[in-house]
Amino acid sequence: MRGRGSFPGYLSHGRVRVARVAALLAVVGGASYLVWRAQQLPQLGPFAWGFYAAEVLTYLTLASAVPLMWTPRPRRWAPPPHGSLDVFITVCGEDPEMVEATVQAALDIDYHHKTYILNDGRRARIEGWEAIDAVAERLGVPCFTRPIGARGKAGNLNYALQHTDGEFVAVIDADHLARPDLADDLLGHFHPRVAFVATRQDFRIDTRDYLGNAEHFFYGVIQPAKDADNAAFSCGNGVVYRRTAIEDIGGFSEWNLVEDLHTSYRLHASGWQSVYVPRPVTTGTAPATAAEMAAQRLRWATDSLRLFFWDNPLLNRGLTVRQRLHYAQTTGVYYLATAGQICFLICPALSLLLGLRVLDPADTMDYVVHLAVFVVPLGAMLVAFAGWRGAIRLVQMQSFLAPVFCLAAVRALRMRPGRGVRGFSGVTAKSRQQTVNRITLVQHLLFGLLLASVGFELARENGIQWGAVMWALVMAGTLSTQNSMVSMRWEIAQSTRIALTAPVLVALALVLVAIWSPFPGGSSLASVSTGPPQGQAAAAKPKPRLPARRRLVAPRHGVYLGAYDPTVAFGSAHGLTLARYGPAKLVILHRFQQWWGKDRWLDLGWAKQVADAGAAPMITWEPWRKPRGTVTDSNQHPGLLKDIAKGRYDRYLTRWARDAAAFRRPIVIRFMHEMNGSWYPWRAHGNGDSPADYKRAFRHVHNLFGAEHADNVSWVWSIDTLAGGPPTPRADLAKYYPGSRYVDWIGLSGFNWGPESVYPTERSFQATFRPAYDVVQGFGKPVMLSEIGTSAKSVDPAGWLQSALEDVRELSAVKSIVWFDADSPDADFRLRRPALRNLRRAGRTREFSPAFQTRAISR
Amino acid sequence: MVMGFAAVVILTGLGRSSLFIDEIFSWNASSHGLHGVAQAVHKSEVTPPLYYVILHLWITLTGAESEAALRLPSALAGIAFVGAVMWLGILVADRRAAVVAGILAALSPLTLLYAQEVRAYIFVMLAVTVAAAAVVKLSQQPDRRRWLALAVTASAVAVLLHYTAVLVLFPLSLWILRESQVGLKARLAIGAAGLIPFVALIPLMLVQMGAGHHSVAADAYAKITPVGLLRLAGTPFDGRALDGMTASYELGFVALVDAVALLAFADRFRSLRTRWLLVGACVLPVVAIIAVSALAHPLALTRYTAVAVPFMLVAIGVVVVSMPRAIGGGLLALAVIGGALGVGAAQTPSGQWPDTRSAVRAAAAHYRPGDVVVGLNNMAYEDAMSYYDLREMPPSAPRATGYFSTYDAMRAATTRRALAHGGRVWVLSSPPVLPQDLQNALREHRAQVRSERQFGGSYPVQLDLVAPRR
Repeated sequence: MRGRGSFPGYLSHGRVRVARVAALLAVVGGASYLVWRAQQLPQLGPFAWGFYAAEVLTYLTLASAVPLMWTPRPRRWAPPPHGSLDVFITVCGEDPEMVEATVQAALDIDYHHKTYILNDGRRARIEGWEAIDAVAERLGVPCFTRPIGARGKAGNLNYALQHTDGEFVAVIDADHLARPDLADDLLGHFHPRVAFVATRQDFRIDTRDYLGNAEHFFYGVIQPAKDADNAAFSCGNGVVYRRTAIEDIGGFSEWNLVEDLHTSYRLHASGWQSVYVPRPVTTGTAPATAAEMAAQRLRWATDSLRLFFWDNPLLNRGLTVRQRLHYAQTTGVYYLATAGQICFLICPALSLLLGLRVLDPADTMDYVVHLAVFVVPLGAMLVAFAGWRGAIRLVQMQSFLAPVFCLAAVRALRMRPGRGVRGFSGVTAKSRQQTVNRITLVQHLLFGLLLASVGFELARENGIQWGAVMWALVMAGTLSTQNSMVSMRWEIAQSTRIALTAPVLVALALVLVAIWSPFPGGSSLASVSTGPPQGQAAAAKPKPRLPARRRLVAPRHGVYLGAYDPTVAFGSAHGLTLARYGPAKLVILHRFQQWWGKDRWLDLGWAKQVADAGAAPMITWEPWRKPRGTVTDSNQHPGLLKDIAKGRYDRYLTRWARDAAAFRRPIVIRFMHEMNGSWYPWRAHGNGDSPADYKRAFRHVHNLFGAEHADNVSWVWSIDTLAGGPPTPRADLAKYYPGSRYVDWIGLSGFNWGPESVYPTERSFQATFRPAYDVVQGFGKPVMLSEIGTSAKSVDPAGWLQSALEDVRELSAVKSIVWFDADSPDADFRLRRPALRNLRRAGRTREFSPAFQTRAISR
Repeated sequence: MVMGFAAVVILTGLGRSSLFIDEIFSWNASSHGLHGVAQAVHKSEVTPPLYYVILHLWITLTGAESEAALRLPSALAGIAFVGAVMWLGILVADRRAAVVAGILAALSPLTLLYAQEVRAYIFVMLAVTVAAAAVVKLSQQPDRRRWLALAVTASAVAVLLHYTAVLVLFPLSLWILRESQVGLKARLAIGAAGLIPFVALIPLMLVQMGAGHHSVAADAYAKITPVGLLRLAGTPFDGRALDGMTASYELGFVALVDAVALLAFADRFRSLRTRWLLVGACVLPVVAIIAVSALAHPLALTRYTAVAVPFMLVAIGVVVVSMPRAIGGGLLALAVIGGALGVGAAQTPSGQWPDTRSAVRAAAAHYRPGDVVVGLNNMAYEDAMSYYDLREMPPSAPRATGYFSTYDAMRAATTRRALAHGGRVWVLSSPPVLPQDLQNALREHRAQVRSERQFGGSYPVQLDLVAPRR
């Protein structure tokens, strides 16, 4: 029914507003995501740069498209039609029955007009072309069957144009049935400068439209937005041209493969105007198989890209600036950006199969939050513009057509003007469509590759890159629908779609459930990274606002208790078990880590377990590869400290610092400990380094952490008490003390070795720690007895522990005792039952159970 | 023929493997009279009592003692299960679908696992299959009371065998409630048949949740992992073997998800009356177990979704014979290859349960008075070795069980006394203890590990001989 308002088919104002807000958020969020991602790239290889480039390309496409589709233009109902109308039905090898139906529908158009059949079968040398002439004769419709002339639809139209005289020319493809009100809807729009009126395409397809032929986004948003800037272009069917306009530009364009886009382009460049009506005036057939669709889109893409490469709209002076941008977007940017998506398809599989890293979500939560800031509004914009199904199909088509557009770009570059465009059929098959062709073989192979890579990865069972698995499944999911369209038979296509899509989606859902499960199991949030496995941790729900980073601070009253117990220090799949310490509240859980070897990364899973247990993880961080079999290797890596200070290990350190920063909860790092001894390669004297080098190295690492905002880290500068002997003099320590800005705690290591150890001594707690304590307390920092223990073979381990806990009260600067409850190669320091009982009992007292005190540092 | 094939698969190597720790629990629970059964279900089991009563009767009536004899009821139930799956397949679709489902049941690694295990799972699988088949038959012949009686009995038995039966009885009840050709009373009776025993068993279930080996096992194995969830979703293709199963459950997962998704969404099955029964019974147990595991308590083990297996296999059978050949054939190939790989892996030496039998025999062969036997890890459970212990070791041999750390076990009074008096310690552990742990634990004693031997299985049993230093 005709009315006074705008045509049906336009988006409501409300939806447009929502889409605009979402688009703005996506542009801003995308920029923030890309900036954040850019910071990771130095740690990753060149492969990651390729992936990042694809991300940037996608973003730029969005950013450039948003202003162009900002204002879709609603058209009002047209005034009554006027002028004489010729209806051209272009035929090139279609079934006579189909053509007959099309002609019959055209004859039924409710307006005085002449209908012509333009039979190009003879020119294209298609067998049986005479049958179309017979149809024309039977229906009494004039038929132009040219023997010569330019190839293609443009030549066919131009030939008919010379032999007819209607003021307006409606072009209808042989497989499209015109609606009776075609002229009523369109002819009234022809104001004097309007060259053509284009319409929405409508197809006889299932409502589920698995291939995305309906293109809601293009016809509902892009074309109306182009119309607002007088840049809507003809789609070749269901379009009415003004004869004088076509004649003004010398006829339909024969320059390109298909006439519609380039003819529209030339009309606009000549100052003519266009109108787009989002209401279909014909209903026709569309590709029913993915192969046929890929062939069709390859033609269109090649056509558009050829225009972009060889007759670039940006350089066309006849167009307005916005028209140039629209044509550049339509003919080049869209296709090239989509072609870039091939990276998204290939990278997850290569990442899984070859171990190449494209992402580095040290903290997956950070990654998810940053990505969501971009992807969620982008999705909202698409849904607002195109509806759920339209948005999903759009995303699926982007993946499916990426290889097609790559091929199109290559072909378009090879098809220079004047070299001809042979080898291209300009007609979509209507009745018998190919099921698989060489073009879609790529998509099938990619789909198989993605699934195979997931299968291989899962077969590992340990150290799985869950992030890459997730992305591989997402990309396989986007390919699965179009890939399943391998038959014109609906039932087979539907079944194949279900069979391909269901396992992918269910597997994806299960992976996500496992990732977000509150029970720490075989996977963890921390291990959802494409970096090295990071242990096991419980996952937390995403929080829109990140908590403040907090740093451990010394208690005002009392002493923190901590422990190094190998069974606790490395956590487990089942969480930490602190039952050994009974009611004693451990605030620091200690472990040792080396810079080289399997255990070189911050184990976020373990750290989270520790934090969840109400404690802070303390890592004694050793820049060496721990030698096997021997206790130490003091001459490993001469000049180590100089190398650290020079930045040789910055890549590793930065990554570590980011992990630590992302953790946000308190971490204690005891870095390059016992440097006053002679047994480690980072000792302050010797091994090619000087005390100044030690200081520089310490500060350099500290600064790197600062640059990464890892200010939740507390730094322990820890010396050895030298087995209770004369302590290192203050003057010597001062040479390599990094400075109060760089140190939060001063640590002391001291043991009662017992008579049977490699250092056969029996010393009291006071004798062990007092001399060194007296030296270090002058630095004005809280003191941590970072390694303290008594040999199980000492005279009275329980008594020694008890006296330590009593005597430590005299050392007022001592704010933490971290018990060394382990068997070392030199002596067994594990706490046996009586000593353990004393520790548990002390842990119940207020003195040794101060509140876990932290300070918020930053957001 | 299919059942004959199933019998060959199931009976092959029935007694080859040592009894697994869970099987020894079942044997222990059923060997001490009905009072023992009652005690066991309260203290150490997580299932209702019916299976142990059945096993008790079997042991009492036949005097079954060997592994094969103890497993024979499960094996017979497994063969019957294959038949029941075929019956369900015939009722739901046709004979061809039934044959496919039957072959897949015979080739299911999970069927093999439970048909060769002294546990209740294959019985509950059989009972829910029979209940579902009887309900479907009743919907076809509403006036035949015998199907109602069978449906009610099988439903009640299923719940008395295992709580998880309700996960399929629930969709079954919903489905029959919509079948208006069946009388209302009959429909309500079917629902009540599962509900009433379940409600009656809730107090027992609560007691069991707070005790027994359940929490330990769950903490160790039943947490949600992505791979674990894939296995859960492809339950019939999970099996006894630990290695070589990836391809089995990956292929099975794809075949199964495809089959259920096609049943649910393909236009072709819109006219299939039992469509939502099959889909519900396939999906609900898996979703429920995942939800409970994700939100409340780790339970992500295929033993708890085993009740869905008959419906999953019938779903594959129905889809295979109904879809165009390319899709149906592809699905069948995936399922058969997946199943065959899993069954094959289960029959290899590394697919067997830990070889406790050989380990205890080896210890017994060299046992001297004054020696002591220590169990660690899984062997630390008091019942873990008891079956072989009683048969192979001298009755007077002292034992130290119940210690879950090597250090504590070596400090146990029995162990210390034995070592102090020149006796030796036979340490049985599965999974094996770390040599360093054992060395460390022996530091306090003047003892050393004299010999070390491993016995095969899905994870090995280690036998260490600890003797005083000379």
